[in-house]
Amino acid sequence: MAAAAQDLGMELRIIYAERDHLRMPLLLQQAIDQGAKPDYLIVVNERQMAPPLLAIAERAHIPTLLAFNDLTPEQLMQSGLPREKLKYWIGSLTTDNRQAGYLTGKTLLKRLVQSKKIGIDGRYQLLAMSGDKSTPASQERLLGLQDALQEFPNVELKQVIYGNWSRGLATEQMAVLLDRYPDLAAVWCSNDLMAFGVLSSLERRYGTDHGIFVSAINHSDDAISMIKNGRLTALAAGHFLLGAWSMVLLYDYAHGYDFAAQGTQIQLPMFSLVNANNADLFLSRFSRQGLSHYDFSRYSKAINPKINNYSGQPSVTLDTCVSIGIAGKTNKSRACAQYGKLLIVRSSMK
Amino acid sequence: MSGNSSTKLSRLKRNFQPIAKRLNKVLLRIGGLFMLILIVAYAGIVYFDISSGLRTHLSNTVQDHGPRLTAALWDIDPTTINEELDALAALPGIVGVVLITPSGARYERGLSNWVENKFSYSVALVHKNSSNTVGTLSLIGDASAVWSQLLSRVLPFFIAQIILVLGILLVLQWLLRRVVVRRLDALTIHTHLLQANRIEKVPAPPAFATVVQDELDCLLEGFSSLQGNVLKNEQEREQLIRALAESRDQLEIEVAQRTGETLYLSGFLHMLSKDAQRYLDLPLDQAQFGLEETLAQTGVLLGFDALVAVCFSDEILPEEVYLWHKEGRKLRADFVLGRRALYKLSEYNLNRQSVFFIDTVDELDAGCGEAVLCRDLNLAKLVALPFNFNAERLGVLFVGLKSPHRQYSKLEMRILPMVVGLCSNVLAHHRQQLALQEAKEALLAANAKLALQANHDGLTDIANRRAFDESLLQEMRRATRSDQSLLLIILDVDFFKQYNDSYGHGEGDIALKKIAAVLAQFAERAGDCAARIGGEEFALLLPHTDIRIGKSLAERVRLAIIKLGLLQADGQPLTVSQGGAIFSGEEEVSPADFLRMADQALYRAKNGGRNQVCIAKMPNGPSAGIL
Repeated sequence: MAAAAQDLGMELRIIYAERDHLRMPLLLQQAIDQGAKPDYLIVVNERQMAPPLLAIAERAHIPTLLAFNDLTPEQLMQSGLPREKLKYWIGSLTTDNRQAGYLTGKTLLKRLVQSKKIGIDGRYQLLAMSGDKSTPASQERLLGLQDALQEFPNVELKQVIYGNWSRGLATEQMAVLLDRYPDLAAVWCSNDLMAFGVLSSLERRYGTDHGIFVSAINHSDDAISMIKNGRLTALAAGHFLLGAWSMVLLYDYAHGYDFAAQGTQIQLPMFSLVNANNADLFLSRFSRQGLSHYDFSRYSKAINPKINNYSGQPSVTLDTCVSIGIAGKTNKSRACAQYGKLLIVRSSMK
Repeated sequence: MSGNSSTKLSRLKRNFQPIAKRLNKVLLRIGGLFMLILIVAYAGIVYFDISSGLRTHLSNTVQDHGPRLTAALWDIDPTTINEELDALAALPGIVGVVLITPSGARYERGLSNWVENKFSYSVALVHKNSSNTVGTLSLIGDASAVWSQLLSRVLPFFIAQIILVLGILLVLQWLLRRVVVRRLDALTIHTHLLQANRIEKVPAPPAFATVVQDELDCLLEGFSSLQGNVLKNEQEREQLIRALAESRDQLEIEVAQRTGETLYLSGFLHMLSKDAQRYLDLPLDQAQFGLEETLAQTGVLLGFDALVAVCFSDEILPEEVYLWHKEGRKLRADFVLGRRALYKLSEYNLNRQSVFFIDTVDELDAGCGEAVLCRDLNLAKLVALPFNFNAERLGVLFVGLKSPHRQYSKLEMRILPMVVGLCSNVLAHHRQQLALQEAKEALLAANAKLALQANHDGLTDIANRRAFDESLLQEMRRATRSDQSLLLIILDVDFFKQYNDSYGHGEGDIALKKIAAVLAQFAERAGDCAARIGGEEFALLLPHTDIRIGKSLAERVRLAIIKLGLLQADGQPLTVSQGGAIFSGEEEVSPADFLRMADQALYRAKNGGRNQVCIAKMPNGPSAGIL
C-alpha cells in the first residue's frame, strides 16, 4: 500500500488504534479535527466497526473507500448501498474470497483422493475450520470450499467449526474433533492461524506422521515455509494487494475516472495458490525490496486510459505477482486515504 | 335425710372418678399416636412430591437449555458453553452445574458433587447430527429449598392436625361423660343400694322394681334436696343484696357529705384568703366595716344565728362590739364588755382552753354576762373563741345558735378558728396602723417644735444667731445673683448693763422682747430677717434696700425704740446704736467681712455718742458719713 502510494504520488498516513477497535471512531475524529483534513479515507469493517467510521466521514464530507471487508448484509440493510444514503461512501473494494476457498479446497481434495487413505464407508471425511459466522469474508471462503466439494462426491464434509480466526481455539477444538471423528482425512482452514492450531493438535495426538491433510488461506512466512516442508497441503495468498489497489482506485477517482461504472462494490480476484514450487518465489518477491521495484501506476486508468476493467489486469494472478514482485503487509489495515496525503488507521500490527 | 343421702352418693361417685380419668388418658394417647402417624405419612408424601417436582423442574430446565448447550458443544464454542452454564447456574432452584465432555473437559458452576447429591439430575447431551454424546450435564437442585418447602407445607398440616385431634378428643370426652360416666354413676348407686346393711334398713319390697326406677328414685331425692338448697341460696342472696344496697346508700351519703364538705371548705378558705388580702388594702376607717362583713359571710355560710365580736379597749382603741344577727336583732345600748369586764365564766375558761362551749344557757347563772347575751339575742347555745395576737388577747368572738338541737359540727369548729385568726389579724393590723398614725403625728409635732427651737431665739421669739447666719449667707448669694443691694444693720442696746442692774434681769428680758418685737415689725417682707445675735445685740437684714432707704429705715427704728418708753434709772430713754453696711454683690466679700463692716460702723456709732446710725456704703470704699 505504501509502495503504491509512493508510486502514485499520494501521501499516506496510518493511525494505529492499539488493538482497541472501540477507540477507532475517536481516533479518526481526532485525526480529522487536529491535522489537515484528509482528502480521502480508507476504512475496514473489522469487528463491524465501519458504520461509525463512515458516519464520521459523512459528517466531515470526506470521500471514503471501504476496503478488505465489506459491510455485512445486516449493516447494508441499515446504511444502504454506497452513494445512496451515505453520499461520501464512494464504494467498497474486496477481494474474491470465494475464489480463495475454492482454490484451497480443490487442491486439498485433489490431494486427498489421490492419497491411499479411504474412510470406513468408502468416503473421505473432511472438516472445515471457518472463521466466524457473520463476516462476508468468512462466509464467502466457505462457499468456495462448497463449490470445490461439488466436484468431489466421495468426500463428506462432516462438520463446519468456527474457530474465530484464532490459533488457540482451533487447537482446542481440534482435540475434541479428533475424538468425535476418528477417521478424519482432511481439514480445510479459513486462515493460516487456525491451520497452525489444527496442525499442533494433530501432531500432539498422532505425532508428525499423522497423515491428515490441512489447507490454509493468507500469506505469512510461517505458512509458506509449512507449504515448503509439506505440513500444509494447500495455501492461497495475495489479498494484501488490496491495499495497493485501493490506492489505485482512489487515484483514478480523484482524477475523474470514477470506478462506479464497474460498480460501487468491487471485488477483484487477488488470491493465488502457493505450492512448494513457487514458495521460494513468494518469499523472495513479497519483500520490501520486491515491492519497491514495482510501479503501481500502470494499473491506473488515469495514467493508462486504455484500461477498461480493473479485474482484467494481470496483477490479480500469482504469476503477475511473481513477475512484478510486489507485496505489502497491508492486510487488516483500515485507513483513510487522502489525495496527495494518505491516512491509514490500523487496529493492530501484524 | 335427703342431704345425707346426696353426700353419700357424691362420695361414691368420687370413688369412680379415676375410671373417667383413665379413660381420658387412654383417649389422649390414642389421639396423639394417631396424629403422629398422620403427620409422618403426610410428610413422606409431601417429601416425594417436592423431590419429584424438583426433578421435573431440573429436567424441564435441561429441556429448555439443552439444545443450545448441545449446539455449542457440537460447535466446540467455549464462549457460548460458558454463557449457557452461567445462565443455568443463575436459575432459581439450581445450586450447581457440572458438564463433562467426552474428551474429558469438565465445566463446573457452584456445587460439584452431583454424585452424592440426592437432588441432582444428569443427562447425556446428544447432537442431532451424531449418535455420540457431546457431553454429560448434571444439575444439582437446592436441598435447603426442598427442606424449607417441606417444612412450610407440613407445619400448617401439623397445626391443623393438632386442632382436629383435640377437637375430636373433646367431643369424645363429652360423649363419654354423657354416656359412660353416667352409667358408671348409676352402677355405683345400685351397688350402694345393694349393700347388705342398706338392704336390711330398706323395707322388703323395693320402691322401684327396675333399675330405671331406682335411678328415678335417686334422681327425685337428689332433685328435692337440690331444690331446697336453691331456695335457701335464693333467700340468702336476697338478704345479701339488701344489706349491700343499704351499705351502698350509706356510703353514698357519706361520700356526698365528704365531697360537699371538701368543696365547702375550699370555697370558704378561698373567701377567707380573699378577705385577708382585701383588709390589708382597706383604709383605716373601713376596718370595722370589713370585720362586720366577714362576720356576716361566716354566719350566712356556716348557718349560725348570731356572731358577736368584742374588741377590748386599750390605750389606742376604745371598746368595740361587732354584731351580726340572722334576724337583725340589735344589742342593748348599755351592752358593755371591756377587757376588765369580760364575763367571769368566759374569762376563766378561755384562760385555760382555746375554745369555750356553753351548751345550755339554762345552766348558767341568770345574772352572768353570757346568759344576758343569750337572752338578748334569743340564743340557745354559745361558743366563745378568743382573738389572740402575739399572746395578747384583743377580744373575743361569740358564736350563737338559736336551736338547742343544732350542734357545732367538727367542720365548723375547724373553720371558726380560721375566722377568728383572720379577725385577730385584722384587729391587730388595725390597731397597729392607728398606733403608727399617732406616733407619726407626735413625731411630726416634735420635729416642728425642734425646727422652731433651732432657728428662733428662746427669749425674743425672733431668729437667733444661727438662723441669721444662714439667712445672711443666702441673701448675699441672692444679691450677687440678682445684682441687688443688701442692707445689714447691727443694733446694740445702749447701756443695757446699767438697765439690767437697775431693774433686774426680768425687766431686762422684757425690754429685749419689746425691742425684738419692734425689729420684727420692720422685717416684714419675705427675705427680711430680724435676729438677736448676741446678749443685747440685734441685726436687721434687708434685701433690695439701697443706702437711701436704709438710712431712713434705720432712723425710723431708732425713733420707734425710743417710743417704747423704756427708761433708764436716770430717766433717759433706752436707745440703740446702729451700724449699717451695704453689700452690692461683690464676690470677694465674705459674710464675715460684711458683718465686720457693719460692726465697724456700729463702733463708729457707739464712739460717736450712741443713739445714732452709722452706715458704711462700700466694703472697701470710703466710709459713709455719719448720720
